[in-house]
Amino acid sequence: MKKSEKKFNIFPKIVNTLLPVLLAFLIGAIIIAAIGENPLTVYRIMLGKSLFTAKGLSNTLHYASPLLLTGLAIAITFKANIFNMGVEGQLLLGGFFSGLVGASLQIGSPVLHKIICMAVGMLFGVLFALVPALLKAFYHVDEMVVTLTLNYAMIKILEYLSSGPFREDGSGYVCTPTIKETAMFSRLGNSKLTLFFFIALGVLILMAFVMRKTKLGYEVTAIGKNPEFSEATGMRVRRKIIVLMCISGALAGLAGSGQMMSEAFKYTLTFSGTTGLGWDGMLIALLGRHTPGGILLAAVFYSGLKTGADNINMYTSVPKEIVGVLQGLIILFLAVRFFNEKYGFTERYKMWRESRRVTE
Amino acid sequence: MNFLGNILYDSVYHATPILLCVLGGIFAYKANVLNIALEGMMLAGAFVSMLVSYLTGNIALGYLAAIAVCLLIGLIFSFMTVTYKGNVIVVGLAINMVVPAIAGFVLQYMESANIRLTWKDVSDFKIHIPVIDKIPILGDILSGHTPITYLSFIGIFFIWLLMYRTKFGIYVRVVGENEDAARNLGLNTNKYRYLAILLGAFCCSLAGINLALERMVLFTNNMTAGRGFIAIAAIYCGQGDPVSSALYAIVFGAARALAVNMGLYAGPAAALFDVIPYVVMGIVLTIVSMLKYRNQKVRGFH
Amino acid sequence: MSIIQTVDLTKKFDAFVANDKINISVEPQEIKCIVGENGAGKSTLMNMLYGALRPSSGKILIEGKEVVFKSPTDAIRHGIGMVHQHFKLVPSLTVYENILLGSEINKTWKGRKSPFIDRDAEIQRVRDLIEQYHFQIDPLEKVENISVGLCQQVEILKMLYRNVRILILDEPTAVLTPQEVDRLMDNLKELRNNGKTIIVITHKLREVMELSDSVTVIKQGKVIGNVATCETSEQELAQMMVGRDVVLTVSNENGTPCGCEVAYSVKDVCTVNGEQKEILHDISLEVHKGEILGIAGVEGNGQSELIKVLTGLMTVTKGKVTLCGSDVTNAWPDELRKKGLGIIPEDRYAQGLCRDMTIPENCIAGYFGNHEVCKSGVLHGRTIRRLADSYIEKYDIRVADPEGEISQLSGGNAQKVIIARELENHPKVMIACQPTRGVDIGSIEFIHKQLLKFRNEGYSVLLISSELTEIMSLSDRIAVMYKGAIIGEADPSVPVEEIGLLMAGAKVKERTA
Repeated sequence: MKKSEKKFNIFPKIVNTLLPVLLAFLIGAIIIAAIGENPLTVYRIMLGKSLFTAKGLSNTLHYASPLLLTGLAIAITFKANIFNMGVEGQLLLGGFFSGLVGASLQIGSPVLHKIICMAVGMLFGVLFALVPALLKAFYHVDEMVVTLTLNYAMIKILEYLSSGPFREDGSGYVCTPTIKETAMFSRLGNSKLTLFFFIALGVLILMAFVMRKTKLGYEVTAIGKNPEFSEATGMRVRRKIIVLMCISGALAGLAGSGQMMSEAFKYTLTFSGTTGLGWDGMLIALLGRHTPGGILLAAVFYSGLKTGADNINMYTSVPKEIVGVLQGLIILFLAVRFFNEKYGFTERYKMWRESRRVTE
Repeated sequence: MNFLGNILYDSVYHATPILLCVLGGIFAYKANVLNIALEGMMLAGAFVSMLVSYLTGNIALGYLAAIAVCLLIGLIFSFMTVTYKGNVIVVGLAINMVVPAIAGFVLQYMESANIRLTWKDVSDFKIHIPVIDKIPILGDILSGHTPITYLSFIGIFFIWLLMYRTKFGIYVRVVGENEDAARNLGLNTNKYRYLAILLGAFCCSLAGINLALERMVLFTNNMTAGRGFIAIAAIYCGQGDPVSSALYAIVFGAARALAVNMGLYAGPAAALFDVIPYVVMGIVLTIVSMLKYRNQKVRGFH
Repeated sequence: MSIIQTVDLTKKFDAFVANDKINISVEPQEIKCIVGENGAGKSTLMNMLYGALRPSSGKILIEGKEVVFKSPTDAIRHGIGMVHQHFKLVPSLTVYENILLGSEINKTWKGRKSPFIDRDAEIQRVRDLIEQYHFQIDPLEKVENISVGLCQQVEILKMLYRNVRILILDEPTAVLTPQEVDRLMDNLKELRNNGKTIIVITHKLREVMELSDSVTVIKQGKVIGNVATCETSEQELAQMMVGRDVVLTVSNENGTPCGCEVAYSVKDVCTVNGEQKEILHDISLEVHKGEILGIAGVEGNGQSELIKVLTGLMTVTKGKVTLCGSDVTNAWPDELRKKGLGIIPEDRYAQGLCRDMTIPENCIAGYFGNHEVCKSGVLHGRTIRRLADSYIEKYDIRVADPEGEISQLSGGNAQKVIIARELENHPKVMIACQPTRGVDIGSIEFIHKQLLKFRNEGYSVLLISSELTEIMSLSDRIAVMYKGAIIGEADPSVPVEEIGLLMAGAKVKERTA
């Protein structure tokens, strides 16, 4: 009896997750059709190569690596009803400074060099996150507004640093020096995949364990559902806010240094791409419903979409910004629960019949 | 104009879009719907006003289209959050992401980095007030602004009237403060939320038009640069009161004016001065929050 | 002819029948009391009468004519107004704005209506109204600044302004001091003499006897009896309400004599609210081992703040709290529990339980750091489930799904989860706040017995409750709280009237001298 009830509850969840994606693609199709292209062809090019060929898929997994981390970074705070919107800025900051360390430090051991770079990235991610965390914890300053605006400030500062003091001499565009060979993750085989993907995967598994099995995971759930209860049962919400923001910042910083060491190798003004890896993380967390497994699926799907977008630029006249449009639309539709998940379809049907009978 | 005059003039100039967003956001704030889509709505206003003016060659059409599109976005926002009870923050952020994506898509399609009207000049929009123009300082502050700038400052008074002296204002506040009471009175709470959000959308469209069309006759993507979020900070600081929230908006505008004018003398470090408005915002928000919670003995975050 | 009458009025929620064929009739110009236990269906009935709920079947007649209310506004149009237990006022608006909310008067300009509100006219109308019914209230005061008693007056005025003929009041005396209750009764009687009909929902029988002309008793959604007040007694009504002879007091024997070692002490504790106003004034209490100290008082006299301070949710400005010899002033909730303080919180769904989490998860709340369930940060799922199962069995918690969410439980069973959790972690001192609020009679008895058993084992209980009968029957000593201060202490053997006087703030001379 109990088991069957739970089974029914899965259906609305799946519908609630898939329907937004379908709706977004539908609207995307209308836009594509409006500029005179065939949406089906475009979508086939976009998803076919990146998800359904071995090489494409391994590239997709490569691009999914930072997304796994930013998705987790958003999920762990959202779950506790804290809104760390600074993941983008934390990622940039982490990436920038691990790039500097990667380029300037002379360390013989490639392992040590990589570890130092990642540690620096995480450290700067945490430093960024600490500002809104402390303001929130001690003065109740709204963390969302602070992180959102800090992002802009951070982008401006990094713009200055990369085009001024740390600019690579003789380069035609704004960028920092390329990192040393010892700090680069090398490709595995002939795909773009590097060790970084497995690091990200390891972190995902670790976070899955933390969220499911540990005291901290329990506290995160409780704080998200009922902060007053959490305080009254001794969870020290203030401390937890700081801890969670730091974890989130560290994950974002790690994503940034991973991007630096496995893909970008130097900081440019388009370091995190057109939609921004941090913002992508938000879509992934929502689409993955803040669960690690869901985040993995969502990250791969979305990364496929993004790598596919490069293909449509090549083969069609559709601008690749269409991915940004799809991203926003998916998030928009994900905000709404189309079906109430507390009841399965049969229960809902029964209740509907019941209510009819009463009014008759 | 001298340095001081420049700063004063620029303060008004930079305060306008923030002020409009604040005036628009206040009602949603009072109705307990945190509208963080201000940023996206403003960008939509800027984009559509320029795009339509560019395509049709008619400024008035640009104005109308921008207002219409922003109202439509407001309608989508309210439909998703009020009728369908979606998470306000997520919907708001989604709108903030969709708008620049569509703008980027169109710009890319037009194969251009920006939209520019060659047949129109910035000075066409400026209104010089005859006598005041000549007075030092006062002339800098009051004269030579665009129509929407004047409208926005007069708007403070109108929004205040609307908020405290009309049924609509009272009802919006009731809906936000005690929904139960509102329902008990037979008020259609959703209607007031919709109206509050739509009013916000309207103001944001004006902010966008001011930002792109009136001030620069130019649209570049992401030109709103977080002004919508700064406006939200101003609303928080002023706790939704039209006059004090507007004052905070002006403070933030002045911070930007200061940054821009000082940047002129800073040489290569000028980019760093751009950070000033955001830092000022953070500090002001913290101080206001500190004062509010200074005597709070209750622990916790609920 | 009756002014309002119901015929076979029934309301079902899914399978649950909240009201089953209710037939009542109210005569014009009478005060009718509707009494019944918590959950008997009084509120459902009233919600149907004033249009907040639609009946599943049955009819409502006003002066013999059938009416169907689509909304509360509809009911008001038919002359029925409701004053809720939880006021529907807007704190940031003034008294007059609240009274006129929804029927504002607009300014006229050259004979036409303008969009602006005519504040002077509004204030004048409200002044007239206040004078007409002899209320005492300043229309310009903001509602957030006035007392609960005055808030209730505002609610009543709101209805009077709308010219209702029938006024329904839901538990109107729950939050009032005895003096305010007296004033309310005078007001209501005067309204009746002015031609209004009044229906009062309550479970306080003393007030029923004093106030009403006739009484209807409801039990489990059914009408048990209709009687004229002059022909019945408090005891008879109580019997009808519960359906058996009521022993409203649990036998409180075996109490070890007090005066031995102090287990818990509060000394000169003060604190302020957000506006820097002192809300607790030099509170001092001592709870001895093997004793229950009851804190009586009308709700809203600082008990909530005291509870927050004692349970680590609020800090003090001055004073000291000691638990078994160690200083726990301003300690956090987790530290308090570790030092042996059990907490039964005031509002179980706000501070005690998380509705959207499972029963096992709630069973470890507050004690999730304990070594048995959590080793180096990792929770042990199976142990936790076993723990929950043992609580369910030992405390007779009725659940459909032992791993389901708390939201499936009734009030009594949810409260038992808290009682089980706090008692099974073997505290030395228990702070029990409103332990039986909104709980069925069976669970009340069970909870009272558990608390007495805990006391008899030599531990201490600080009982804070607004139910005077509960305080009287459980406590070994009673302290009375009034306006944020402990105004006096009494023995449970003193007559209720004396404690009632203290609760109203009247310092008894002999006592203070």
